[in-house]
Amino acid sequence: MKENFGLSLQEFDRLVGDLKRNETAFFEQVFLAHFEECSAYLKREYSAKADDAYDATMDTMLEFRRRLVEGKLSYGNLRYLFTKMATQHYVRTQKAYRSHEIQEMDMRGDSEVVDSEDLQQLNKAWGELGVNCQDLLKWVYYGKMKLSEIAEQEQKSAASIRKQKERCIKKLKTLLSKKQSKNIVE
Amino acid sequence: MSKFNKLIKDQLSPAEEDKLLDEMLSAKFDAELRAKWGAQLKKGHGSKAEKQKRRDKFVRLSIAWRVVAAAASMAAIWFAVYWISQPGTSAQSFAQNQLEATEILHPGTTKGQNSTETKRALAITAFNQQNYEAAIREFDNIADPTLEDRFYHGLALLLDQKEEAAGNILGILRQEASPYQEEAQWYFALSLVLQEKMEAAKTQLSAIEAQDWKFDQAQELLNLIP
Repeated sequence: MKENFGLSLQEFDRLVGDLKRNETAFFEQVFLAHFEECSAYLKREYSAKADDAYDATMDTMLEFRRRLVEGKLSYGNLRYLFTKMATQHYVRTQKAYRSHEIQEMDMRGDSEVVDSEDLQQLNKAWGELGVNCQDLLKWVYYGKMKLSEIAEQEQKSAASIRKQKERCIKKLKTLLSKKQSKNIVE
Repeated sequence: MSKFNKLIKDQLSPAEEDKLLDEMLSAKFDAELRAKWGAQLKKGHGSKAEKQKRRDKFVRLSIAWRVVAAAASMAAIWFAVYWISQPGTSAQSFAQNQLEATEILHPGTTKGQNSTETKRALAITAFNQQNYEAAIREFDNIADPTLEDRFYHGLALLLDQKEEAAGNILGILRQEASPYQEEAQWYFALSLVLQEKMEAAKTQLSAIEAQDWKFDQAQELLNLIP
């Protein structure tokens, strides 16, 4: 069990289920406890600066969450994988700095990362979306829940969840458009 | 064109729309989690900083106290020379260091409302706050303890310097086929070293095999036992 942060298979399944529903308390309880250890490992083994070790470990936690909800990580040697991923994050960043690849990274990132202005607009629109739509879209896009899983959880048909999702996306797009129009006027 | 504009202006296929929303919402919620976890870690560091502050305060003794401390340190040096010459002392320090080297945290509990779950939750909270006395009390109150409860109960006793009581629990656990067997074996051996039961400790440390958890440390500890 130690290689899985003390998690039994049952607890691992529960952790993934929680994450899909965007409940992160259990994940935090397990992984934040390992944060220091992983960060210390990077500092010790790679002479990483505290900030770099922190960033690499934080990126790994987020990637771990994503991989878990996508079903790309199974119960096994999670501790080893976590440390290995953190090492890769750290080494990749350092390599990029060393070979002046930052510009390239930024360019590549342009197609992957959302810029802060967009994020601000999204946050404003999201706040006006309504709880039902917020929950549904977060389950779908961040928790990677299938519509059939949501339907089962909500005790509705998959078809009605699909329609609800379409309505919510339309509403979000309308709100985003309004925010943009308002921005242009201002 | 930004993702934002693309989403609201372009005629996208459902798959493209899904991809954009996925990226935008992932960026939003990742940023939120990053901030939340950062704050939680900072809070954790804060408590460590407090401990450090207390330590620093302790070190900043007045001049008068420093004179007293110097005298005391002379006595301590004499005592240390005597103590080191006694068999088993360095092994005990090693065992104690092994216990203190990393913070041991309980991985958490399952959700629940019944009283056992409540006691378990209280025990875990106390354990992770290093309030081992309270953790022991709560673990004691669990009528039907699981393997995990027994293991952390044993650890709480060991960390609260109740080595004999810890050994009673861990000594049984190490004999049971369970996910805690290797951990129980190691901590049971540490409890014996700390009780100065060196021969028994040697037997238990020798039982830790090359593929087992803490094999290297067990070998190191074996070398320290006279």
